[in-house]
Amino acid sequence: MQRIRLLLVDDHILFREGLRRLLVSEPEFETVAECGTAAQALAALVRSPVDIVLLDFDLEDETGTRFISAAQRAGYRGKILMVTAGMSPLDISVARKLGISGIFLKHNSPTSLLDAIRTVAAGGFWTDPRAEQISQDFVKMPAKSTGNQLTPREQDVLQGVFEGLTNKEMAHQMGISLSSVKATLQSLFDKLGVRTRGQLVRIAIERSVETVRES
Amino acid sequence: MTRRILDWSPAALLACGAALIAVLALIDWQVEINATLGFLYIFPMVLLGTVLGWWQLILVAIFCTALSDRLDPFPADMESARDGIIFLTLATTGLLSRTVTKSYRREMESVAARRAAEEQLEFLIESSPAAILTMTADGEILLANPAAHRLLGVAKGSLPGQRITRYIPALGSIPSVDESVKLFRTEMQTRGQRESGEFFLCDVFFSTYITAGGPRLAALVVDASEQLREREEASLQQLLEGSRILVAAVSHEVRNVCGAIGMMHENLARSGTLKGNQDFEALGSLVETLSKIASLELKQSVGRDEPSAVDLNEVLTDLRIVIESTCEESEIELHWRVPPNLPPVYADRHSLMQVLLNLTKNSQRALERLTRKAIRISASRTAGGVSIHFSDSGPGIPPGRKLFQPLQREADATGLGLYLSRAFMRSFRGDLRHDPNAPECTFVLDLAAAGDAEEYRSTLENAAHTSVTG
Repeated sequence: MQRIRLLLVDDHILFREGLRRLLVSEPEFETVAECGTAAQALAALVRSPVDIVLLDFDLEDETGTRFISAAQRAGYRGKILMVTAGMSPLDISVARKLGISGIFLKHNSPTSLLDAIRTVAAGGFWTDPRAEQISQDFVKMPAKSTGNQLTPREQDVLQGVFEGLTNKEMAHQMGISLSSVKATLQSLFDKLGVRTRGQLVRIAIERSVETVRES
Repeated sequence: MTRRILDWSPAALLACGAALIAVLALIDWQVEINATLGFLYIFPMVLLGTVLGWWQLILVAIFCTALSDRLDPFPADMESARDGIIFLTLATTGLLSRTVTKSYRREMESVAARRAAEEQLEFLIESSPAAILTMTADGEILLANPAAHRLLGVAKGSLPGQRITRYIPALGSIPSVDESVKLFRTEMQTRGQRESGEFFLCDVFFSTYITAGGPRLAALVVDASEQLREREEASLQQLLEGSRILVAAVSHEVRNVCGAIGMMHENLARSGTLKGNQDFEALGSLVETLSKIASLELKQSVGRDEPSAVDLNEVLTDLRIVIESTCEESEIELHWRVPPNLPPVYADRHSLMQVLLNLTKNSQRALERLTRKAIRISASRTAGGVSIHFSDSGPGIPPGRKLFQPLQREADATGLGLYLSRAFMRSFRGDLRHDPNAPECTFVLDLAAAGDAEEYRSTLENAAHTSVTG
């Protein structure tokens, strides 16, 4: 039987050591090397052939996805299973684009990690339900507008701010509730990346000037 | 009449003066009377005095005197004395007219300028979004602009004669200016009350002064209630966001440790030596529970707000305002190289500022006992984003130091600054890293240009190839 050659890359020594000892108890796996940094792991890939890299995302000053890019440039064509305590939706998305074979979250049982390695070795993709959920929610999330597109209500509220009206006065003038004015104002703050009314006025004026210049 | 004449154009005045001289000369020539008409030339001299220079007036006076001398029928023995008197009269009249005219015109210009300034001032006061009030020493309102009436919620024109203490009590407590009390020219934040009884927070910029009518107080009042609300809400939001990032980061570490313990527990279970040991099984359950608690944060991680696009030039300018004087006090040279027109980047303005301030504090601590103290901040566009390079002339980071790990023993302060700073940066798709190859102690803040952050992150991964392999 051909053993599955594994490279462990994790900056947590205790986890790495525990995982190595777990893998030793499974005859189908062979741990080629264990590394704490991306540079050590790249060197290990050059020294010995590896079938699967078990890769943590946070590697001290580096990230797992940076390692993937570097390993692929160095000619590594094997599989990569992310074994991580957590990744941001954006990092999951980038890692998937880089061609990883799955994401295993460390809080799951060690037995399921062995299943994950077997699945990946067999050419499958290991999907952790929670990582999958994070990834799907990220895809569904509407992209925040980066332009100056304001809704008519936002424009009205902005006009009110320009005129120096208080929230209450704006609500009265526009015939809407005070909470609606506050919500619209908050939306304006978010869109323009500001936190105060004074900053809002400055940014709104500057951006409208820029828009006029561009047009 | 005089004002109307002065409104004529210089050419018209000149023509009129010349015509008058011609008419007088003609009369003097044609009319045979036993009297000199030379003194009548003072009228054209008055006219010409409004437009000609002093030497031109002297020439005209000489000309008129000569004309009078020629045309008058008097014997030659009286000529010199008479001519002298006529010349002096004409020249003096012309010069006097010139002086009076100049003075009058200057006065008129001054009046016009004052009127224009008054109009501007009146417009400024009337249209000001801030309330402007003037008061007597005992707090009686003398003047109040429309904004003051709006702010205090009273009918237009009803404030003069009222007491300011009814609306802004603190203004009534300001000592009036006299020989013992010096002038006030300052600001304060206080509470006011509208006519309806509603309280509000206001910023008051005030000054005291003395007029012929007695000591006075002028105040510019701005409603700061909305700002207070926004500031408090923003602070709460920032606190929650900071706490969320801190909890996420700590949970991440706990999950890592739980993963390691779980792995060892599994190994021990497989060895069979602790089979049936209840404490061992309980330990396994405890680790599992702790791991579940630490994983709750993962559920929240996608529900948070997306970062906004912020103007990096503005954030960096704000940073400069904040740290410039601090650096000056600490005798640190601040070298600034930030190009204009950096693209908007994904970030939380406040969090990014916190990261930059944390780096500044670290640098200040590192430079404290050095003779050469310098901080360099530069920004440059990268593929799909912007990198801010933050360097100081300090001793640098010792090799092997794990900078971004929490609660470091070697850290000078809490040991959480860099750990949290990187968590902040990553929360808006950026990153914070130490550049060990830079000549000085350098940290690099990578920020994604507002647009496709995913593409930017991929670009970063590729660009990092050199640093990883190196």
